[in-house]
Amino acid sequence: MKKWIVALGALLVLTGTSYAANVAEDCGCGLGKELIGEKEGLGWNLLGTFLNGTSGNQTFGMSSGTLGCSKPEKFVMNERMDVFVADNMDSLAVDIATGNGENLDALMEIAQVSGTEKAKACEALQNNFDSIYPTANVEDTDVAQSIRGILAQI
Amino acid sequence: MVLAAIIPASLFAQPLSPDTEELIQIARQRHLSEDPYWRTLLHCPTGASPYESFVDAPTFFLAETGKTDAEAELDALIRTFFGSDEPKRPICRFIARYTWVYEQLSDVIDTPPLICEEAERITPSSATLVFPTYHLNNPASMFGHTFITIETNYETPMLADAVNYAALPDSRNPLTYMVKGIAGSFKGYYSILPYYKKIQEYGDMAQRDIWEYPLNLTPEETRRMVLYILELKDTYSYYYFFDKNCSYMLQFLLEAARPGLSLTQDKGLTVIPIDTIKAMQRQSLITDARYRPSTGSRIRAGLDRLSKPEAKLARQLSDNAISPDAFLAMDLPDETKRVTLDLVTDVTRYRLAKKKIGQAEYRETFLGTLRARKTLGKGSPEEKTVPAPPEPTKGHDAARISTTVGVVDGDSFEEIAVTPAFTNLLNTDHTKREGIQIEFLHTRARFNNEEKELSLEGLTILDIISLAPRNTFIRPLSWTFHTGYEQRMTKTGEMKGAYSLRAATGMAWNLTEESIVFLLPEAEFLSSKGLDKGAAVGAGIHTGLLFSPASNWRTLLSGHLTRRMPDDTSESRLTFENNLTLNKNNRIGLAVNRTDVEEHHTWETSLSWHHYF
Repeated sequence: MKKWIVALGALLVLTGTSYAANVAEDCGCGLGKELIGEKEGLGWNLLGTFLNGTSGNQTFGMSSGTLGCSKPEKFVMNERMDVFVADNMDSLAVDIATGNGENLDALMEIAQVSGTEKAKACEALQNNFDSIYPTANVEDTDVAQSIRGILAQI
Repeated sequence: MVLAAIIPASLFAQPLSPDTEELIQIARQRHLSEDPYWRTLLHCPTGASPYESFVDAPTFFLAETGKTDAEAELDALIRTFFGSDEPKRPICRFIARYTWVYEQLSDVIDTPPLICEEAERITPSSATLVFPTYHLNNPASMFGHTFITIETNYETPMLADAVNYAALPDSRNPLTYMVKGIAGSFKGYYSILPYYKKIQEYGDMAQRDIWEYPLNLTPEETRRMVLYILELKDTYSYYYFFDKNCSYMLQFLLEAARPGLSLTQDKGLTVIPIDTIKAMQRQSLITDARYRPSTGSRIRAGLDRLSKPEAKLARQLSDNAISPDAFLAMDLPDETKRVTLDLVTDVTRYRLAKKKIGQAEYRETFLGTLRARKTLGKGSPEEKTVPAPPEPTKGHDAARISTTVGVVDGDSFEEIAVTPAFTNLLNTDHTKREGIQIEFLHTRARFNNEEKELSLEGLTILDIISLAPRNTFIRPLSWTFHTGYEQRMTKTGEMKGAYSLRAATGMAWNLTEESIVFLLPEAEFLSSKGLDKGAAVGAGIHTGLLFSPASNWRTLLSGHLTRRMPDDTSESRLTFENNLTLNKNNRIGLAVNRTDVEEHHTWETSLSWHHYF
């Protein structure tokens, strides 16, 4: 009863943007994709939701384990890099172009490159920006492949 | 053979392993089902009596009555996993409960524990509480959202795993969303996804700043939390926006991590995310805060770094009026070029997020800008820093009580007001460049000393003000919304009670970094005995200047000018209000108001003390 009173009393209440999320999950080593839609406009500002969130359906996939996989570590590392590059295409490109940034740090951690090697690697990636991103429609798998190629030469 | 017939059949039946029944007895003797931690594992708030789990999915429980009978659930757990037979349920879905019961009975069990492969593969080291704050132009998002990230093998924050409790709505109709969300008709699920996805969702797409609060949990405590989370995958609880919401449910995770911790007992009518963070600070779970700016905040910081002509160049670059190569050829210091190109990159991404440009145009501009940027080296960290706004937990508490003394046209009065939530335009906790107000059920009672009368001066059901300043790249519309009961002047000069529903939308700009000027055409529906026909509609303007002369002083000069029909009256309400912040939860206000309706007017001056709690 109390909840209905509160609900009625606050019917006009609370604006928010709502997020509709669809989850399509690739089966395999904890990969997942999400599409996020955002509703905007004054109407939605006045009436909206506050349900706050998406419904991702992965498990601790990215950083800890490749659930359901029994592939060798090297393959797993490559796969993690592929996933990361695919999920962060734009931000990673910005970091590579500017020579620093959290996305670049993350990439280096996944590739297990650290210390002085990391500084050299970041510079090499920045210098080779054009070969990593030759056109505006370059695919994530090609980007990951090029990055791996450049890192292998450090 | 005759002998065989005489021997009772029960001797040949497979008995229940004596161990499980014995274990159940031992568990009873040790009062394990009454242990507060057992109840936390079953998702029951600390100290709640009688026991009831907040989880609604039947698959979460082993016993049919598990939701309301803690002892039955414990018995069922022992029977399922501590027998000599192969367990008929997967251990991973009950791993937290199993681990704890095993620990409690390890002195009388001689078999090694069952292993959950999934849990063994995860190596948690620490956890962080993440708080996406409000979205510019959406004050209700100021209540915010909280989720937890769990750091495992990697140090880079964005590679942590985010654990998020959210409702899965089955309806897209805004009204149904609201009602269902409040009434608990949506199912809430925990989901696990890479933190960088949440950063993209909140920071890039929703333009919300994110605050990260590292939790001081040990790896062992974090591991207990992870086991608890593994049990909650695919289970649901009904999501209630006001109380059983994201922030409240996250507290269970912390209680599971650290036995003895009590956070869930404080559930009032509402649970506001920022309050749960403050509660964790009080329990010494959080001592630090990190700021992660949204794309919008980076744009504003970038603009601040440029002079007017440089900003114009940035604008031209983003509009493709000049090419990146032409820009590189200009005679400008490298640092300026870097900062300008970084800004243009952010602007381009912002425009895509706001759907102001299409994918094809975006890609060309984006790549072109980066190609130019890559020739300029790394640059210094200062070129990318974004000054952090006031840290949210340092702000005032949510509820407010105000005592006022004042004079209205020569009559003195006292007033007392209560506002359950949340924040006022004049608060100095928020950045000086924006104006935010959300007030809920703001109730005022006034005692007029001349007429010796106590009356309800006003009851605002909801009042929202969002003043979002426009700059060359980000051009939001500011807006206000108000509904409630208040005193309004009639055409004969009396004050009469009225119900007002009004909304305005328009523009705001920063004149200086500490001030914002706004101009919002407004429409109002008014219902009152003081009106000719009992009701009227009005059109007009709401305009003013919000200014912060000092960090603890904010002042507002504003006016509502309205023309009402069918009464054919003009009304003007001007206010000059000041707020001086004494400390986190105490403020002093000084206000002067003048109301004019046709040839009548009234002056009101008041001095208030506002206390937050």
